[in-house]
Amino acid sequence: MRGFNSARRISIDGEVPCSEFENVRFSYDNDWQNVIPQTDEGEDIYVYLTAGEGHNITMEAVPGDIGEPMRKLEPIVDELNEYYRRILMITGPSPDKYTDYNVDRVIPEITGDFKDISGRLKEIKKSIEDLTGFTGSEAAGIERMYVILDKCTEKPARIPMYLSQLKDNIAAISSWMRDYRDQPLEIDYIEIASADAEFSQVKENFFSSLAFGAKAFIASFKQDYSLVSGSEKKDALTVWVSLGRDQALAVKELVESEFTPVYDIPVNISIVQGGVVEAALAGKGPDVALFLGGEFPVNLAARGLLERLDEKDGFEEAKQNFQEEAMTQYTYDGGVYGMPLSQSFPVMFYRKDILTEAGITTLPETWDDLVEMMPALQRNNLHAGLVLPSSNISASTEPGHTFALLMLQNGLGYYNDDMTATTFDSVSAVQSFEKWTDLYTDYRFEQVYDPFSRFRDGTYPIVIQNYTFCNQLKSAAPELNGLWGFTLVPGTELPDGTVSHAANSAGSGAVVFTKTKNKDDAWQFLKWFTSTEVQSEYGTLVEGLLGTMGRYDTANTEALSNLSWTPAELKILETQRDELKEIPVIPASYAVTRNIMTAFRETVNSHRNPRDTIMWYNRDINTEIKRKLKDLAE
Amino acid sequence: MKPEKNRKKRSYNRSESIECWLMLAPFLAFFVLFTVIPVLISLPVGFTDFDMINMPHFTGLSNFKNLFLSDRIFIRSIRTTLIFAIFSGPVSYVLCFMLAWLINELPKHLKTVFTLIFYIPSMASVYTVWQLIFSGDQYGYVNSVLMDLGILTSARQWLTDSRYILFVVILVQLWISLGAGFLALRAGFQNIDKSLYEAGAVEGIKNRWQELVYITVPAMKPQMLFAAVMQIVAAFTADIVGRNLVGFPSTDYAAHTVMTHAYDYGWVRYEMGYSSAICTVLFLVMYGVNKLITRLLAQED
Repeated sequence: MRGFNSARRISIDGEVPCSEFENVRFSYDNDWQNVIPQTDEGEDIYVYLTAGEGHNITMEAVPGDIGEPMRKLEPIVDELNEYYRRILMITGPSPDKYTDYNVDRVIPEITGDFKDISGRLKEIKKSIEDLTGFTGSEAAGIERMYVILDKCTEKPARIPMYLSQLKDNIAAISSWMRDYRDQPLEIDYIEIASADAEFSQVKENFFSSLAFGAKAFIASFKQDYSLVSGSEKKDALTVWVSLGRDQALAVKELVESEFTPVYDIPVNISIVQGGVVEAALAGKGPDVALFLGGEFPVNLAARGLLERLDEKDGFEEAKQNFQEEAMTQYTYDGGVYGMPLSQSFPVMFYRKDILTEAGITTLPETWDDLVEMMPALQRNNLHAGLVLPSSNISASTEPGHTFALLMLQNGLGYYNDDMTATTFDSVSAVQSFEKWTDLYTDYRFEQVYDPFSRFRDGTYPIVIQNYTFCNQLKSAAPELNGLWGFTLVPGTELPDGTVSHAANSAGSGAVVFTKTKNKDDAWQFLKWFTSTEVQSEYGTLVEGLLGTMGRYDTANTEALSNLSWTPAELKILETQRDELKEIPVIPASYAVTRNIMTAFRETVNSHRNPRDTIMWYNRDINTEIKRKLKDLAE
Repeated sequence: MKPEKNRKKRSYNRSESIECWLMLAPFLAFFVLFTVIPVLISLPVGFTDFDMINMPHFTGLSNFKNLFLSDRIFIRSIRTTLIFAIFSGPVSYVLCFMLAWLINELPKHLKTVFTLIFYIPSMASVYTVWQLIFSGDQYGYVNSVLMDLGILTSARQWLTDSRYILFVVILVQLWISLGAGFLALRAGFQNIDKSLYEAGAVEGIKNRWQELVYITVPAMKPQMLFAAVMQIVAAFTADIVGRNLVGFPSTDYAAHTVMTHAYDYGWVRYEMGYSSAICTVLFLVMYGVNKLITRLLAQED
């Protein structure tokens, strides 16, 4: 952290040798530096290490000097957040500058509390300055905060005007607090020297760094950055990983330690993001591609590029690892052409604190409940967020797509049994469509919103998103810890009285290309990689590398329970997963998704009749499906 | 003596022309490989049903027949492309010319600054910013400004409402269109011989407008031709701006130009043969329009 230091507690063999080692400071520096723990008088500290046996050095991140001010800052941020929300409920997100909101009369204690908080902030700022010796940019954030608070106390009538500045400053302080928790530190090496030896020099010489830079530049032309692990053998299996370097390295580790030694199959792993389809079309593709999702598996399978997997040895057992319908995304014309790797499905996130403040005590279980809640929310300038495809309409249906949920909960799929036409001309489907568009036309749900920012600042206390949104909240909005939760998506009450919470999911999987020579080896690799043990290990590895943000949404049912979800969270995830039903992908899916969205937009934006619109566009969909079937049959 | 002179002349020409070819060679290699050959190949592919995976089968004129007789979206996209070309082509051309002319009047250092300011949008990827400006939630700039002024009461969906899409796309396209043509005109203005203006002042030219029409425009014919060609190509092949700004496909195919249609069939529906047919048709149309404009500008004498 600029201007500050990162602190570590160093213990040798589990014990901290002396008090200075409780808090070793590494001050901020862009350059290489040597840090030698010293006493207050500046003498080097010596540690006794017994000969002949191994020793462990442990370094633990501790808050250090900055801990005390941080501890005082946390409750202040909570209080400010609460005030922000209360003001928001009075003024709405864009306060009108000609209206007198009289915030100080509705919340009489606001001026007194702001004054108090401002005083505390000034104290904290002073203590930070004492620590570092100068005003860092971080302390400036605190200063901006108390300046605004002072302005609010002086002229309470202007509080609505300062609303956005309040929000920005609170966000800035929160993100600073999150950064401090990391205590970032990069260590190149640890050196141990006896009393008579000198520590090595770390300041670099200009010429040697110049020479090094030149050599590195030339080497960058020779190195193949996409190849992660290479094997010299000619018949090695080529595997392409369509994710980032961290994930590919995790795969490589697992392959090298557990796959190749056991099955004796050499593997070449490369990172290729995008372009897998094009490479396959050009005949230069891999044997196996991992994390290929969307509509690609079905489209490639329909054109004969993928190997059929459901007739292979061991398929039935491998299939047990996944949710019943997880294979649908990879199924074409009765055959299965891919194994699921990741699977993401929607859940409903809610802000406990905001809902309580708005007077809502029970969570909506059905869509009707949600709609009934809307007046209470909208009166307080709050909204609920639903899933709506954005500008780029992909051919595979987004998980949580409101129309898909309504259809599935009513027991309807998108297509008839032999996939030659849609079901959209049935009464049930038209009613679902109408219900969907009514949400936007009659009940004023918003089409476009940023789920993370809005959930964080509280204007959208209910948001339907993939459950991986959880990871984003935990790592990027730590100030909300304990204030939110998630549950099943809103359901539909069925005639027999039960509520169906059916939802669709999406994910990416592993496929084998037909051009590969070692089909059995490839299938063995797939079986191994999708097994519970390997998926759990992979998930833990990836989470270790990327943190909570990178938690893996594995499709393997047991592996999910082995990742670091709390039992309560896991229960909800498993319940929702059990109710998943899938919408098949067909080669003409692009026509389906785009016509649904066009029908939606015509109805909602141009105020057309929903029933007529969906029937009209349904014709286009069916024509296109027939055309594609004829095209592929030749 | 005469034969000697001739011999010298011939060898001088040959070595000169060899040097020219050598300097052209790198660009020529890329141009032939990535522009000429694909265009030539796509012509016969238009007569097949190539789906990029299996070998193409000859299907004769069926692609072209489907294109003109049963493809409703293609006819619609022709209309969209024409509207696009008419509004963004000439308007952009006039804009380029006016801006180049005005910038030419500025002092030297300001000239460079302003040229840079107007040229940068054509290089940078401006779509994110424009998407933010026209964003459909109440935080998008257009929406929030209009709501502040009281003109709107709720957020309008600028990017997904089929009534507004074309307007938005044309606007952004105009913004981006100040590219190579603009630079050519800028250079052209600087190269006009000052003595022409003096001669004109003597001959009785009374105001700037006459100066423009009688001296500047005729002197800039080659640059104007170049700029015209660039603008036509840009206007007819506009596709990326639509895709990046209002998404693919745009609501009810509102911003679906001929190129977007070709992209759709080629990359989404895996029907490269049909897509090549579309591109061939577009190529012929553009060629025709180019010839027309050249003749028009050449007659301006």
